Amino acid sequence: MSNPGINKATLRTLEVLSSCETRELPFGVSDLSRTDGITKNMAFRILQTLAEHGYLVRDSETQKYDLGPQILWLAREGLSEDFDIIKFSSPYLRQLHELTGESIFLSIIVGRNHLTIDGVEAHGVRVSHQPRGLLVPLHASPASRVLLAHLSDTQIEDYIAAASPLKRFTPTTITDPDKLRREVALVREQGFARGYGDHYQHGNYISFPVLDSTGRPHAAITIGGPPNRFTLERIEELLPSMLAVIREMNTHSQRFPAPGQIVFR
Amino acid sequence: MISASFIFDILRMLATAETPLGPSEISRRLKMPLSTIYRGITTLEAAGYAERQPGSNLFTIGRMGAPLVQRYLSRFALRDVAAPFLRQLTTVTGDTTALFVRIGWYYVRIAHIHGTNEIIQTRPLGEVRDLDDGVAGRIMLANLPQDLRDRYFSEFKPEMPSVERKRLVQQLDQIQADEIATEPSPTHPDRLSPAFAIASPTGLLFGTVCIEGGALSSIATAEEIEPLRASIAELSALCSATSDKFRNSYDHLSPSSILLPSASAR
Repeated sequence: MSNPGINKATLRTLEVLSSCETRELPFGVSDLSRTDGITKNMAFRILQTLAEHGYLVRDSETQKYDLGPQILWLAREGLSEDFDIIKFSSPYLRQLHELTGESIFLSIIVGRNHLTIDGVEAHGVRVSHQPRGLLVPLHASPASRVLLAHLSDTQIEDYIAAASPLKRFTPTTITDPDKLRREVALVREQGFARGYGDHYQHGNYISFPVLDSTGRPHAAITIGGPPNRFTLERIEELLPSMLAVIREMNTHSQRFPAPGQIVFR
Repeated sequence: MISASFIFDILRMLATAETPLGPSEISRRLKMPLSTIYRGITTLEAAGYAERQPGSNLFTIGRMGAPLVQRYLSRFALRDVAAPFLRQLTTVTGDTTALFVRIGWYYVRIAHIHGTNEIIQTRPLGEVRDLDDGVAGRIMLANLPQDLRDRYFSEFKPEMPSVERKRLVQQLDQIQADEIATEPSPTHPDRLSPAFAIASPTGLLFGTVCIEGGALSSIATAEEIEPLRASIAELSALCSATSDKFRNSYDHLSPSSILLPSASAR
């Protein structure tokens, strides 16, 4: 039964405002009329009311509405923190370390490079974290190549154009764009990138992507160890178990959108 | 026209009140009939924007607002493009790195990456401050066109004593010349927290980044500043390449027409 103390028209206005939490933005009068089953006249009046009070703003060109700055009045506390890739990845890095006994690294794309932002180091003889803040171009190292391979074809071509000539770090660095494109296809097919000593020669590495629901990369996870211990045979032996951890991680990472604005110059 | 105006007045009052408010108190403050306030509060409560304190007739702002603020902050495309650079600066310095945009005469914290150097109280996402309150805002103020900067003082801060204003203007000129603003670190008084503008070569300001720790020594040498500046320069270049996505959405509004809940002491 409806509460006689409620102003129904105002309640509907507030409900439209609430719907902006999940509604596709920006939206217009016709969109609101269609989705909420109300007349265009009513939809217009609701949007006009919310815009007059600054809770929505109307784009004068498209006539569509988006959330406005007065929204900032509505919460003084209780905002949850953004998705934190380090916090999210931490248990999986530890799990992979326990599985392999080797060092594990977490890397993200920064500009045209990858940057290692976290890791778990193995004990004793091991491969170590790179110098803090070291940027590695996206064509060199397995972490870079696995991140590059999960960008769009257009972004990959933009990267090649912007970064050419591709810098050589070791004799095995891929500097030929066509060879890089073939490597991208291989990484996409197998779902991981192997180390070729193409950036750092001392150690064996394998990198896996952490993706969102659309396949964009959040980060790369690299497992690396000394070649006499983390042998190619050992990597093959561990591969199914490592992939199982990565698959579980990706099931959860898909709930969060990866940074989408990767623009190469 | 839907008679919603008084509803938003009640909502704003609940949002800024230090303690829960009852209908009588709201009626007194808004100079509106108690019956109207009751109807307004009941409607706000039904929509989730007002919350009754258990066992009382007192109300606070409801829980419906937080997810809307979250969605609002996510609408800033600058957050997406800046996120890896904030992470880079936090990785390099170990300090919390925060991203701000200007809205009218205020700046708003729209993203941050927590550092590991110190356990300090980080300001909340969505916090609003006056442009002259803190380095992240001052570097925005320093980068405003001169006429807007003048209007900030005449329209928004007319009560600021002339001596204080003169000192601030000198500081803004220095910030503009240095392309960096600094203030003493909250954790290490002998070190500085820097802020940088994210801007196009033509002076279009997209936002600012503040590294909230002691990233710089008190003399702030070029060797300390340049790696940080290089990261901001790359971010600025990316924003400039598609500047329409990142420009201030409220430039068509007069800054004085925007009133926001500032945390700055007034």
